[in-house]
Amino acid sequence: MKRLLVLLFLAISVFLLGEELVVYTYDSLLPFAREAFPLFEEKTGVNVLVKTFGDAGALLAKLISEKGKTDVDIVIGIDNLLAERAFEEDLFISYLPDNARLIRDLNLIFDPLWRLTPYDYGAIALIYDRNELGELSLSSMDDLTKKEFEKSIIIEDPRTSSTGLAFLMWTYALYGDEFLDFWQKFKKSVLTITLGWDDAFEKFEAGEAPMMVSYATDGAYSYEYYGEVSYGTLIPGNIGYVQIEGAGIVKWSEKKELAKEFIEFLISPEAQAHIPLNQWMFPVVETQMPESFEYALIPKEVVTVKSVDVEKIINLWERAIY
Amino acid sequence: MRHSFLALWVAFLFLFLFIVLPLTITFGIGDIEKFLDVLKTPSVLSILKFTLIQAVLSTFLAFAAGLPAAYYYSRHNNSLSSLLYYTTYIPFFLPGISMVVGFLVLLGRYGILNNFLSLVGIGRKQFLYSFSAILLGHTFYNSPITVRIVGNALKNLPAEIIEAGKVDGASKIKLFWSLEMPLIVPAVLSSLILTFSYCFTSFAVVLILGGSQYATLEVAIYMYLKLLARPEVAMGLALIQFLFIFAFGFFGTFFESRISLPIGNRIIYKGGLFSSVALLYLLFEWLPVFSGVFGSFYDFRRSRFFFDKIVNLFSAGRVEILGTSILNTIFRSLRLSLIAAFLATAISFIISWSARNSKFENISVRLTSLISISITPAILALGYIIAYRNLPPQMSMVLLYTVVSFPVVINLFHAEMASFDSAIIEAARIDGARFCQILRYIAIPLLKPAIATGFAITFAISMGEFSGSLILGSDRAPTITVAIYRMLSSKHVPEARLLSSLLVIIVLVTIFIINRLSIRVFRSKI
Repeated sequence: MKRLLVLLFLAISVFLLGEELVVYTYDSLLPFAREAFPLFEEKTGVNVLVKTFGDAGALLAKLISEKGKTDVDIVIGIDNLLAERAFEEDLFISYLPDNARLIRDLNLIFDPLWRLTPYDYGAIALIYDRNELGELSLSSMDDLTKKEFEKSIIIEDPRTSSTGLAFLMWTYALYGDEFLDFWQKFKKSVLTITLGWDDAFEKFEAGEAPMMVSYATDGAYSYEYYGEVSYGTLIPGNIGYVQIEGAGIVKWSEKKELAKEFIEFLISPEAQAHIPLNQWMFPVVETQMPESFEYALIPKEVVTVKSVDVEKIINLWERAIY
Repeated sequence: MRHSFLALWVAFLFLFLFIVLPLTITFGIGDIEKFLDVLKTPSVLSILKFTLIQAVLSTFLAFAAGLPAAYYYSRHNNSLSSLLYYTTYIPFFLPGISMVVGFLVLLGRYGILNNFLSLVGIGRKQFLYSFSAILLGHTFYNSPITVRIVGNALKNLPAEIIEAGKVDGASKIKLFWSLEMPLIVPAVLSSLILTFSYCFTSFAVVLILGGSQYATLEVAIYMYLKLLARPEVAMGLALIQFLFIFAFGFFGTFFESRISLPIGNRIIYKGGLFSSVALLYLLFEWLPVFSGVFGSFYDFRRSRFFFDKIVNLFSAGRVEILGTSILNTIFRSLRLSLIAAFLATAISFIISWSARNSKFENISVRLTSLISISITPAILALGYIIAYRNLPPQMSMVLLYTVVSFPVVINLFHAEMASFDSAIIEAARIDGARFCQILRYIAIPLLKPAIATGFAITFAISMGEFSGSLILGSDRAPTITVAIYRMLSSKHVPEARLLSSLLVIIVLVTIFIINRLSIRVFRSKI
């Protein structure tokens, strides 16, 4: 009976005193959340409840469908492409965090109104089989349309894969409205278009094609887990496309002050230090990078797209492909 | 008649609670204007056209490939015919990833066929990633439906009718085309409709073997749902897909005539020309399965085994990317699939049994099966997440598996009950037996093999279900397929392959046991 009373007391006090922040995010952010969020909880005594919903698209769809109705406070994981859709629905408040001054590159701030705060970014790249192609260096994306690459590149479908979409946007960022001309020529180099990155990697591993669209941090990942980098990473012409991911405070949150504190934390060096080995992306502020990131490819120049009609570009792309 | 109302009610409740309500809450009425805009884009139209053409061709090929095997299965009682019986599970238990590996080991650039070609000096060729690869995949995946449905119908034809034809001097081939086939038209139509519906909504097969330059409507649905966060448009496209399949299936029921045949002895032939054809078919179906299993501990590209990964997989305890251990994941998959198998079997049984021999049968069976076949797991999962917010993920997953496997199970019962001898029931009813008594003492014991098969199929489908499990269970309750995906996405290819083979083996063994048990029970009753 005594124990029961103590438990009851504890439960009531947690209920009355303990504050809780509800975070919506995509599945693969979990390893990062498990490592970093306890630091925030220790510091503030606030409990962070993380709820995940598949991938970024499902996450946003879920948020839109619940607009104004649920007790979510923060959303992590809307990238620069999905951002337009989120802004259309007017889901976030504007908030410029103090720690924003630490952000290493102004190009990373993809929303001037600060509805979404960038927390990590990464470049798309091609990975290739060194045994089959030797050491490669390409001076531009156009080189990929050469005859020697005929039917030898696996790409992901921009309609079903965020990697594929990023690759399409890379070509759009490079060629602008002429991107379809590139695709007309590039089509011949494509062996197949896969549903997602995992399917493409399975085929790449099996030797179906010597090259695939992947990430610039792949070398770092391989080094970390296998102690070796068995394939080459390539950014044609050294002009890379970056995907930037952001977090925002939900408009109908009742704990906005607490949520602001959390955003500050998310881009603080102590939280950012957990980005590289969990997200396999780059942190937005300067931190001590792990050794394996020496094998990550860093593009000399960066292109990205802002406020673009993604749907329209995909529709144009479909015309080039079919 | 009263019981046919029960069927309608169960069917209605099932549809309403598991499908209609969650989807209505989730998407509401949607933005009609945006939806119409999508329809106007030329790509959606060309995708629709392509989807239709490939589905017609695939259905034809799958049927043509399955028919000889179905005939052999129905007219023989030997180890070859029982292997053909197990083949019919292939489309339901082979998860996408296992299939990829299987086909890569067989037909890939470093696969068995290409290794042979390069050995004899012809050089490596590309067999995959083409339109014919899609047709091949669909034939592989869907011809077992013909074997199952048409084969069972042929098997149930009473020997007396065929014997009578024989007396008149007809050859086996003549008998088949002019006597047996006309008698099983409903089963043929059922199998064609089911095959067409699966090919029309096909997603993984088309994309994995062909590549998404051969995308079907499903790809567009996926895009609007997952990448553009426009669930209302996805829902609109899903509605087109749904209406199409629904209209098609409904149209089909008009041609299905009900023929009641007396129950008699089964006719069994020995040997015959078809043995080699059946054997070829068996190889066609099983080679990719065994290649997939083989490919999970043999790196066929670098020609070496990697047994050490088996130890890694199970000794690791908690796997970081899963947040739990592999063993936990396996047990969760088993538990959820068993519950779903029980639910789907029970609901399908009640619907098809109560509606048996009534004018509601076709309506309730067709309606429920068509509706559940035309909704994609991903859309359904999103519906559950939004509409049934407080439902624990594991419970939503059970519901989803039930809906997904429902069309197959209800079609199976439908076919079985068409040939069920109702004279026994009538006799029991005259003796004053009540509905529950008839179910308990007559229907269930006599239909035990069909029930066990239905159970096994639902179990297999649930174990292999992926897209819905990923959305619903993801981090909180990963299943085996989710774990395979996670391993692969984190570049642990050998581990992912091992786990996928393990899944195939678990399902095969369970199905084998269930069938053995049910057949033994069946024999002891007679």
